[in-house]
Amino acid sequence: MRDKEDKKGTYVSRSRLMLNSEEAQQNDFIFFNNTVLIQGLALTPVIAAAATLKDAVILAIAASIIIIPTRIIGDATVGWIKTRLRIIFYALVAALILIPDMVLLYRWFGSRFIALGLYIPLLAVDGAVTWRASVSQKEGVRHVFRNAFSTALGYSFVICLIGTVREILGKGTVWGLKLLNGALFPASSIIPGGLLITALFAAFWQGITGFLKKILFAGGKEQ
Amino acid sequence: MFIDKFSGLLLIGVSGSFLANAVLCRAVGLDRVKNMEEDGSEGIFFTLQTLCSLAASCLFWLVRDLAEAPASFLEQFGISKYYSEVFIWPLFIALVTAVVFIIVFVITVKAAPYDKVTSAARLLPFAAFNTFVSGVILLESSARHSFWEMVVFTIGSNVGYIVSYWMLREGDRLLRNRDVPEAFRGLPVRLLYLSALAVAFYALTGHILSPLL
Repeated sequence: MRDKEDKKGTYVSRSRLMLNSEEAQQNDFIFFNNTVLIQGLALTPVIAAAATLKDAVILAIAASIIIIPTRIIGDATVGWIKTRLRIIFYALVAALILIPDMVLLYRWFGSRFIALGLYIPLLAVDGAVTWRASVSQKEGVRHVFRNAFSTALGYSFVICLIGTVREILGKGTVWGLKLLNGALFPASSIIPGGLLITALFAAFWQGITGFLKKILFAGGKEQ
Repeated sequence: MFIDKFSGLLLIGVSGSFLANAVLCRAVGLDRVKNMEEDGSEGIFFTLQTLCSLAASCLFWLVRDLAEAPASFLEQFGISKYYSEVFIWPLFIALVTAVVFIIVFVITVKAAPYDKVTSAARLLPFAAFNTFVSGVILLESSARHSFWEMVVFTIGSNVGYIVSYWMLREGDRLLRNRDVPEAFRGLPVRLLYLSALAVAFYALTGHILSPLL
């Protein structure tokens, strides 16, 4: 048990378990700190390009291949390159990794990949890839890998979820297979619809995480 | 002749600002939606971003053809020449943006007023490396604009960015009230508002949704 005095002068007791769970929550980029719906990063591909599940899967693979190695290589440069200049290194590494990434995806998905236009090349400078460039302390390979993997997983899950919903509403299909007789909301395939659906998902996600945080953490703080 | 050229350039500028607004019609540059700052630093951010965007676009326009050599290497993987060049572009864009970033950084540190230097140095990485700056370069490159068309399109797009950001900020002030449910506060309500703005901009382009299939 650890005691800590709060602003009012009353003692707050927090168990080790509570501290561990709070720390786990801070490092959770799948649910509590989701890259897209909570942090508001990588919104561009989700809103503009992920109109179908197949497009969402292509974007998820492309982003995951970039995020993990860029973060690990980026962390290795801490202390070597000034913090304010590290974003250059992140963008260059991501753009370099993007070349074989795009060749691979082109061979796998062909014309579907080409139809995504500028949204795959833009991943090199996306916030989801570069936002850790401002971190000034070395985190260690294992920690960085875990965080980057968690970020990529959270991003992939959300983009696929939104892509599926947009495809069902906009085309009445899932992965090209007919599910409904007609489109319920054709506008979901274009940017205004993407913004609307992402906003609703963000509200739902924010509501649930807020509720869970209250139950898990706020209730146990004061005794 | 001159009138034709001028009206053509004007049309490109207007389309960059409104009809093909990068933020609302292509969702490019949404990185700052979540973290809007109201500490008076927006002016510095817009100035830096416009400067970086224009300089990087010009530099990329000059070196774009150099992508042919490494692109021919990719052709052996069964990729057509056009696409292999496009695959090299992100690296070229990152390189030219890096050059511009360093030049603007040095100029900012040397020339900016003392009280603005810290703020400018803090904002410069986000003003140079973001989806808006790279997105505008990719858009104008794929359209294969001439030099002056590229300059006008880049300036127009930056004007469009400032207009959409200003509309978002004004809307955001009205949306900060207790009537907004807690779950919708922050990012969700801003995205909802942007969605309504995007519908208006789509209407400007004459976009008509297909009827129920």
